This record gives sequence, C-alpha cells and structure tokens, in this order.
Amino acid sequence: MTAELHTLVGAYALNALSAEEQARFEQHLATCAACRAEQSELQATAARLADANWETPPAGIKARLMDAVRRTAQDRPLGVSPTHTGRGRWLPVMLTAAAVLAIVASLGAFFVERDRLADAQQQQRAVAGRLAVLERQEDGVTAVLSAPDVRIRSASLDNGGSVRVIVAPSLNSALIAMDNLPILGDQYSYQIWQVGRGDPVSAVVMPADAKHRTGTQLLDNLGKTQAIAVTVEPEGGSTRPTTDPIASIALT
Amino acid sequence: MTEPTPLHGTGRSSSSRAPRARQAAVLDDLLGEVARGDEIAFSALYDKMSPAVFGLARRVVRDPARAEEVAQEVFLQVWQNATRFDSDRGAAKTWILTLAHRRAVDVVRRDQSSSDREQRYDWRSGPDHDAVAEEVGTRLEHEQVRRCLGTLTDLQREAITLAYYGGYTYMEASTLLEANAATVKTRMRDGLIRLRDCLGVTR
Ligand SMILES: [Zn+2]
Repeated sequence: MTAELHTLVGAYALNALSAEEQARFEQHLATCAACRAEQSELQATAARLADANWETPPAGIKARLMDAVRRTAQDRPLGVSPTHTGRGRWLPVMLTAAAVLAIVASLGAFFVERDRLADAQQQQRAVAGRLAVLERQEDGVTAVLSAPDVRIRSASLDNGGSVRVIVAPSLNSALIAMDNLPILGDQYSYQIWQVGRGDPVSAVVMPADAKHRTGTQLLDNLGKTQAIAVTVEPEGGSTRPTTDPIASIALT
Repeated sequence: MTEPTPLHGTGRSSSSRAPRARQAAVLDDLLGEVARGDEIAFSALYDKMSPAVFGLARRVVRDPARAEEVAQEVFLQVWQNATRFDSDRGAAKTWILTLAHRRAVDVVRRDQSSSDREQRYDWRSGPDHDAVAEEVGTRLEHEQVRRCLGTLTDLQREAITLAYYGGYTYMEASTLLEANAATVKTRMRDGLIRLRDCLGVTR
C-alpha cells in the first residue's frame, strides 16, 4: 500500500491525480521524507515544462492587476469556507482572488469618475460635492473588498448588463457595481433602493455622469436591508419606486 | 510516431546552470519583497514571470479570454499568498508555476468534458517561440526543455505532455493512450526523473 503510494509522486507533480488520490498522497507526503524530497525535485522539473510555451500576455492584464493589488490585502483569508478545497496546500483562497478580480472592472468606473471630477473640480460646486463623496467612499470601498465576511450577489439584466452587490455585513456596508446598463434618455435616472420590511428606501439616484452604462455606489448603512433593487425613475429620482425594478438582489 | 534525435546525451548540462541559478535567486528575492507588500517588486516579478504563466495558461485552457483570467487570478494569488512562500520547500518560480498549472487545470476540468478536450487538444504545436523576446540564456533553457523531452520514450513523453499541457489525469491519459493505468502512472514518474536528470534540476 505504502509502496503503491510512492509511485504516485510523478502524477502528483503533474497534477494528474483525482481529488481523492491527491488528498491521500498529500497525507502520505506529510509522513514520508523520501517522497517529499522526490516531490520537490519533480515539481521543479514539471515547472520547467512551462518554459517551452512562453507567450507575452495582453498589456491590459498588468494594469488591472496593479490596480487590484493596491486594493487587495495580503495573506488575509477572507470569508470563504475554512475547509480546504482539496487541491493542495498552495491553493487556499483562489475563490476570493477570483471574486475580487470579478469586480475590479466595475470599480474602474468608480475611479475613472473620481479622477475625471478631480480634473474638473474647480468648475462647479456640485462637482466638488460629488468628488468629496467619492473620495470619502474610496476608503469604504477598500474596506468592503477586504472585509472578512465579504460575499457577492449578482443579477443579469435583459440587455446583457449586470448588477453586482458586494456585501460586507460586518461593516454594515455594500458596494453596488452596475455594468453595461441600458442607456437612458435625459429625462430618466437609475435609482437604487434598499428594501427591508417597510417601503423601499432610496439609497441613491445615480448621478448624471455615471448613469449611462456603468455605475458604482457604496452603501454604508445597510441596517435591516434584505434586498437591493434598481429602478428607472424620472430624472432626479422619486420618493418611492414608480416602476418595476430592472434588478432586485437578495442580500442573504 | 517519430522520436526526435537528441542533440546530446542525457547528461546534465553545466553551461546554463549558473545563469539559471542566478535568475532563480532573483525571483526568490523578488517574491520575498512582494511578501512585504512591495508593489514595485510585484511589478518586476510580473514582468519576469508573466510570459511563462500566460503561455502555460494558453496552452492548457486554450481560450485566450479564459487564459487571461487564469493569469490574473494566479498573480493576484501570488500577491495575497506571498507571505506563505517557503524558499526551503522550493524555488519561487516553481511555486508560481505550480499555482498556475493547478489553476489552469482546474479551469479546463471544469469547463470541458474529457472528449471535448481530446478534440481540441493540439498535440504538437506550441505558440510561436519567436514571438517572445527572450534573453539568450533563457532561450537556451527553453531549447533544453524541448531537447530533453526528446530523450524520453514515446509513452513517457505522451503521458507527461497529456497531463501537463492537456490537464488530463493519469487515468484519462491511460484511456487516450490505450495503456494500462498503472503503467502510465509509472511512466509519468520515471519520465519526470529522466527529465530531471537531463535538465539538471536539483530542487
Ligand atoms: Zn513515500
């Protein structure tokens, strides 16, 4: 039995075991110095196989990564299940990394808007007011992304757009990221609602600058909010929803 | 199936070992700085490792958009988990490429059925090697990998390439190769040992 386990070391280094065999072999590795030594050498050998396939990645990847890195805490296990994925010691939080990347694109809109408003800051007080809001939100955005209990809920729109809600219950906060929204005429706005027990409460009317295709909004007072809804309202928003939601996302 | 003629024997090559050791030390140092939160080191590490990571992802998952996702996820994981890297257990390059390989294989096993992969698998060709600007020393190493793959038996080479580039388990590979599973498992091991000796890998 043990002799048979030794022979798995090559397939292990090539990641060619079933999940069960891999788990069994890793248990064996912990107790077998000979296999550990061989595994270390064969793992390095397998890695050399990547050298036969170099390919320059598209330039956009690095820009997105550097942006993500600035907003991603290091070595901080996030609120994914503490059980191991069974794919080895080196892969504990892949899901979280993927989740963070999934929203970085949406966050781009947030920072683009902030930077653009910063350029135009002196032009008008209304713009300056919005900039102050965005700058205040930036810390909150970073906090939500690195919260230990962060989770993502999303809804697709009929036109292919999407609304994602990144919730951090421990911070009483959520980040709404809307992508590829239908374009509205000048006389309409998107409005986000917090839905709890009573009537929906307006969270924000998406500002004119952001209302066209993308928008990102931090909500920092979730309270007993059970769902986030998005409606199309007359320009400037309504005190209560006047249309059916284009998206409604439960937070639980 | 024709066996490429080895240019040299299977002996260890000493000519490229010194630059490789130096390069490996640079990568180890960079990853150490990344573990301390150094974004500039991360940027440099990305520049050095991204062609290998992206090339591997492309080879395994095929789809360019999926390969981009894999590369991004792997590097973000490198950033997040750099503090867990233990240089006593292996080189930074091995650590990163092992993450990349596991991630790519996870994606391909989730996305594609085995038969689907069989149809799509490109048995021989890799991307155009000349498309990437490489240092001369790096280039020699890459040629060494190809030469050493040529020193394996057909079954060793096919078992290893199906697993590494195709993302197949040894059980799946044995079906594709119409060979006994225990034999394929053993060929993966003795093939890697032969590769290790040919490449002069010490850890
Ligand atoms: Zn053993």
